[in-house]
Amino acid sequence: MSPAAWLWLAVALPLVGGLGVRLAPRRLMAPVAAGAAAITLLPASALVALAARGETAASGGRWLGSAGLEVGLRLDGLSAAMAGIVALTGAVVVVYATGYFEEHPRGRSALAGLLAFVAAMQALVLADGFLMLLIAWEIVGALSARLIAFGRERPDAPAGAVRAFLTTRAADTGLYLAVFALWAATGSLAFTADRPDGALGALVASGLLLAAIGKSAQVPLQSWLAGAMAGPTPVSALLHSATMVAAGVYLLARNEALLAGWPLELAGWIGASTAVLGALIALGERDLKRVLAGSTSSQLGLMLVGVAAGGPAVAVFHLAAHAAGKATMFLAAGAFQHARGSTDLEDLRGVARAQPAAFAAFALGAASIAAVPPLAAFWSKDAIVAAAETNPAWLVLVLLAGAGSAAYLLRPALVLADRGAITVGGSRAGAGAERGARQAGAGAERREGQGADAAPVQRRVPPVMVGAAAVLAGAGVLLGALGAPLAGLLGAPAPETTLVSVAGSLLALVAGAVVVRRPRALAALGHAGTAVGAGLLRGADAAGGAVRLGARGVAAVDERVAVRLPDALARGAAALSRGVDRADRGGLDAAVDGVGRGGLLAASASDRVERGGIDAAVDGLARAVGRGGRGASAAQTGKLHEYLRDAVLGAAAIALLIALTAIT
Amino acid sequence: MPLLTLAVVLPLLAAALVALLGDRPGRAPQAMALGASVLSLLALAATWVRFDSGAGMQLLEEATWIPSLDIAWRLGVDGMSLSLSVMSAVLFVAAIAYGVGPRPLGRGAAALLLLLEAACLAFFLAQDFFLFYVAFDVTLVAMYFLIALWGEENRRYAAPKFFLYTLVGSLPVLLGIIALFLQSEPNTFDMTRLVADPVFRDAGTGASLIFLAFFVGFAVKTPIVPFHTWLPAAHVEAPTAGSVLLAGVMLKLGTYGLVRVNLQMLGAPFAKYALAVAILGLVSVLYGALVALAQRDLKRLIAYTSINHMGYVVIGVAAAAAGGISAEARALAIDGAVLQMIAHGIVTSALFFIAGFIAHRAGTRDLHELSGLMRRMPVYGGLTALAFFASLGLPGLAQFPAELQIFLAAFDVWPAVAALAALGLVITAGLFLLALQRAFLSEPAERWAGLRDLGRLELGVLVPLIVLTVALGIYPRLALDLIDAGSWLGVGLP
Repeated sequence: MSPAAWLWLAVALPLVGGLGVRLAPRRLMAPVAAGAAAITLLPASALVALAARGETAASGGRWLGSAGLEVGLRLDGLSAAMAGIVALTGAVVVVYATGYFEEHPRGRSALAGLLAFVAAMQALVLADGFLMLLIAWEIVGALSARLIAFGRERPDAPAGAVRAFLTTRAADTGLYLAVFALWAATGSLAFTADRPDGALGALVASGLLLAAIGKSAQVPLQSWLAGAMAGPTPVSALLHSATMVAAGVYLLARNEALLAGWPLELAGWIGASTAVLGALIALGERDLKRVLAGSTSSQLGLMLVGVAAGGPAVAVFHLAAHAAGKATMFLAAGAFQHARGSTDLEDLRGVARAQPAAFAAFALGAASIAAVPPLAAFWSKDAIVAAAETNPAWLVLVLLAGAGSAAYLLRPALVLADRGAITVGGSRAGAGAERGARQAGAGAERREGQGADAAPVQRRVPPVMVGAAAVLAGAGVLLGALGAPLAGLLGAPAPETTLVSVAGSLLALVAGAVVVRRPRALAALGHAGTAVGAGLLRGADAAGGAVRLGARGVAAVDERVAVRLPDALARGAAALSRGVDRADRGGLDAAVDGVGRGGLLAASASDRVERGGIDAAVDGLARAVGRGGRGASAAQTGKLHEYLRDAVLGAAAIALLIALTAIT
Repeated sequence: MPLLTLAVVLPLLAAALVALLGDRPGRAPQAMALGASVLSLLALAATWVRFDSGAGMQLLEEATWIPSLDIAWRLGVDGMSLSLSVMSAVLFVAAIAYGVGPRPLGRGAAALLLLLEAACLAFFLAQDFFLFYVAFDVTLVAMYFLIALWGEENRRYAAPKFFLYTLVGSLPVLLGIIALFLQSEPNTFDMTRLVADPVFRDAGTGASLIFLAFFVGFAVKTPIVPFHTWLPAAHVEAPTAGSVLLAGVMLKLGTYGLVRVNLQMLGAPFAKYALAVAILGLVSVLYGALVALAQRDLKRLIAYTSINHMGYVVIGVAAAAAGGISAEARALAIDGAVLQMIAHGIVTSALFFIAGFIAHRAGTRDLHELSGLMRRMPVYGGLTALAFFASLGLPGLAQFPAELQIFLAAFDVWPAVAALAALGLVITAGLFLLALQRAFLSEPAERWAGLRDLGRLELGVLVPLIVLTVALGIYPRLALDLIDAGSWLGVGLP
């Protein structure tokens, strides 16, 4: 098959699969979904194989009227690598979800949604040019909102979905502006390595950056991610570890050349700060999924540093390693949640004993993300540390984030295993969740003690869930060897490991572990994290609140002034006309007395015009506006004739005027 | 066969026949109205088949009327006329199928809907200014009665206000038409000639005044802020099918006029005022979105988003009029503007049906009172979500390609205007998502336990509109290849 066919199949297969699941009978839901998930691996592997042979391809066509506005897909090293990551995580998560949604009444809809999301994400990473990218980017955002809101059992899930969509959509304005500016500057929306000069170029760069920050949950736009945890756990595993949030990093990696210079520098700073702040926030959370959300922001921040300091290969390497490790933890969290009906850490204390296999997978994923050698994320994070050596400030922040990740993952692991006197600290469901639930204003009481989406307690965890977690955990172990081949695929030199980076990484790991064993330090850091998270959330809320307040203000003006002004004018005109009419009659009498026949004729003529034309119109208007309900249709009809006659008279008069001026 | 004439005359004949039916006509008025509107749509579809894309204005049908004034029955189509006519005819079929007032459709309502259809189609197809104006005003009369007779509680306030306001708006249009007639050499009402050979090559006082007269008239109709105040009242009080036609078809009378007359016949003065017009469009975009965000009544909310969406059209038309714009960018802008008219017509009609369905069931359209609709009425909820996402400009649905083209063209001319207008995308996303969260995704209240999901008739009118929305979103060339602004726009433009 031609590369073009594989490209389109990579997008079409999950889409068709999703449709199939939706239409399949309920009892065939799981096999159809799993089959669809598995078959999507085929085109992705074919693409990776083709790219490994150095092949590139593009396939597309004109979508709009103008030339230059084509949509299409492309095969190159980066797109193939991303397609592979998306397909693999997607397949595992969908298979897992067949277990998770086994007893859910709308399970088919959820599975179809997940498959459709995979299709949209494939379109995003395979997009050839900014137009296709923008289309897929926005669809990914909308589908993610739909998937988060799917868990309506949780009262704050809709609020979380809305916050996620609105935050990312607001940031997407950047992508729109970048597209407009690029089109204005070059007349093309193809991917390019050259940034236009001047203000347009700056707009292209900052717009792309803004969109990436929003999608990848970077400071200061990171707060939507924690709220999104109210969605079902498979959704979190797919969207909020490996795919949707990864789109921001992908966008930067794809446009690394275009963004060279200050934009990448800025991206590095944002990433480095988010890496630290995200870790801090994770330390302050008491809900397992929200810990993982903070961790995701932090790890994606590291990837931004990776793009800025080491190039796309470094970032994508960590993206892959993180995808496997983080998805593993989410999948395990879902298993715990099935067993205990909650993801609140306090409720999950000691769950490891009941769920040893899931816990083992969790521990493996956590160890990888915490950069325990020789697991995958150790190597990928180490490559970032090594790349950051050029910028001492970034190096410090990256190492701090590394220590943080060790601490924020060890803490829940210890609670799950019920080892040591780790207090969970913080408010019960996380400050953000409570606020989110209040804002939802749905009138539903928040159910106490529920961390994330509240699946019914089933006690029985379907084996397919644990199996999927185990598969990903295994992948996480093996992926460490992926650095060099991945770099080869992307045409970059293999990521380096230096003595400094290894020493620094190990030191950070130890430091993190030590902190967890010091309750006071841990509590202080947790408080700091909660405060940071709450502060950023307040900022986001304030922005939204300001817009809504402004909207109410404008609406009030519209209601009181704009709509009523014409009414008031009409009433005023009616009053004026009555006054004029009275004066006119008075004047008429005087004229009769004073001037005689000629004057009388002129006056009566003017009176006719006055009454027949202007007065009747204004008066009719006044009556129509001022009068309450009288006989319905008959009265209306009568008035209409007047209006029409007035209109024609008035128009004719003015027409005459124009005609006269035109002729003379 | 004079297909265009048939498309206009069939509804008119049917209106007369329906009016002649006896006292207890039963289902006959609705059947006849539906039949006539479908035939009219078929005539237009056949025109589409005969239509030669890229050939500009064509398939002219002409019959002498008042030779001394060069007034004639002139109909013809280019990409804009035909695409808007087809869209209108589709919406009329849907509106007539759904009906106005008690079911089945009565004689009066059927006759008025048919009269309105004939007038709207005549307006879009007219190539004679006299016919153009007559059609323009007849639409007012027909819509006035639809609101006044079958509207909601406050119709006695809304109907005259609508009528007067828009009538005041149509007077300057009449003046402009007469002025153009008098200025043309030889005097003519033939729009094709006025387009091909514009009277004014510069932007003198006379040209500016005539431009202004047309602009004010069409601005009221579109509506452009601050001429919009008739719209919320009219929409809220109109019956469901009336709102559908008002937003879906009649608002386009204004923007069609802006393109056909202000841009094509008065390009020189338009170039002078293009930025001012674009800023008014920008104000409409932001103002409409902000006011919509503050609404609790779903129908008012949709009405104000119409102001927002029509603002994009105005920006696109203004960009096309700007001096120094390239022919390609101008075609892009008008492609986008016309596609936006069509997309908005379809999407907003769906939205007004959606508002009508829930008001009919729940007795309220208050988004703060309604709750849990997604769970109570999953089909309705799903279709609504799709329509909401279409209206907020999501790719894959109809309005995205239209707005994108407008933005791309406008940014080329005035980056600041386009960039600020892009904020409208965020606000509309906010208002639709909040509405969805509040009324659809929340916990259902006790009192909504008995709500039924959509019935056959409701699905029958809504689903085709949603299908069109998706089709245009995925494959916008469905309409764009027909519109093809580049082929007819530039005839007389500098």
